[in-house]
Amino acid sequence: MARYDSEQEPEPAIVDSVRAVRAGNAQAYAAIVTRFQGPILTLCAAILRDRQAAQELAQDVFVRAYQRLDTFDVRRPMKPWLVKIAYHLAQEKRRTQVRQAARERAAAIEREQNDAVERPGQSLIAAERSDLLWQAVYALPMAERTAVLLYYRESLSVKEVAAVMGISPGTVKTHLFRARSQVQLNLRAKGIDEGDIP
Amino acid sequence: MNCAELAAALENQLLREREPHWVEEARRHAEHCPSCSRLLELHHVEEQLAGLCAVEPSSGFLEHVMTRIKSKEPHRIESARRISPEAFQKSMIVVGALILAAAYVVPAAGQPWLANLWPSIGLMRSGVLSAYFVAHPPWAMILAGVAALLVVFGMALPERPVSKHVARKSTIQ
Repeated sequence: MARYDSEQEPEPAIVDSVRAVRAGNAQAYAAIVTRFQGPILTLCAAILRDRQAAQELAQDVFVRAYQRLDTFDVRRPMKPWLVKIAYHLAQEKRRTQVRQAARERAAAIEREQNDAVERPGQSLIAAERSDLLWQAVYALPMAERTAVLLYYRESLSVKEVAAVMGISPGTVKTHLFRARSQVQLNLRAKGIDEGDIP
Repeated sequence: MNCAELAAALENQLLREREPHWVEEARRHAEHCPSCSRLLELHHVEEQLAGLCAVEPSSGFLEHVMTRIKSKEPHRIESARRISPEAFQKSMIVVGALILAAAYVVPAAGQPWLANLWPSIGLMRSGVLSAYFVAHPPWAMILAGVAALLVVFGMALPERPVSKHVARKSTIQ
């Protein structure tokens, strides 16, 4: 269990790819994208709750990372560095989403069509109705579901999650504790025991 | 292990951060203790969350990223958005010199363009600057002062260090 307390080591293959890109071989960047596209996309989807927007955002993350590759320290693992870029871009995107949703709601009220307004992410939740655990995670507040994703799924340490989110390790633990309780409640509210989830 | 120890431990640390033998001991204790069983059950959610499936990238995700980065050069994108220090330095000197030249040749009232160019040189050579100032309008003097400052500041700017990217490229070549 010690791996959750310690920082992850940089992967030699990724270090080689970074050096190759810096030397001018842009094609070597494909290995980096292939290695990290899953975690980055999953994080973007969890924050935005919108799969299509997450695909676009994940592309933006890799393009931004490419532009800033010179600032990356190859002695450190790449995942937390990429996750930090993704988290900040996702937050910006989410703020835009919220503003856009507010404008759409206002327009809908003017047209007296309140019932037709679709909440952001609703389409994704509907599309993934079969994935009960994901639904429970989507129902969490943004900070809690981000912490859950980074800590449990991406196996970042509490310290790394805290660094990415710009909060204290204690707050990360609080988010994780609340998230666990809330996920359990959400699952129970649907009449599902944790053991039923594959 | 008793109830208080288990509760205190889980309050301060996540279950997955505990050693496996500690978790096993906690589970054995929980088998005979309903309240601790409920507490430990909450932490079973951790295992479920760790197994969350990844969102799969769409087909062509990698190609899209690679197409987008091919149109960009790393390390140069950020600097391309702002003027480089070298260009700024040269611009200051050139603009300052042009203004200075314009102020120098600007004629006094009633004089045709360049009419005072040679007399001005003559006055400066003989060191009669007061006559030179009288021959030129005040705004031309102010302009000349600003221009001279531009040139001085432009020349005083420190030389930019060679960027890591350029240094690296030249090393490779």
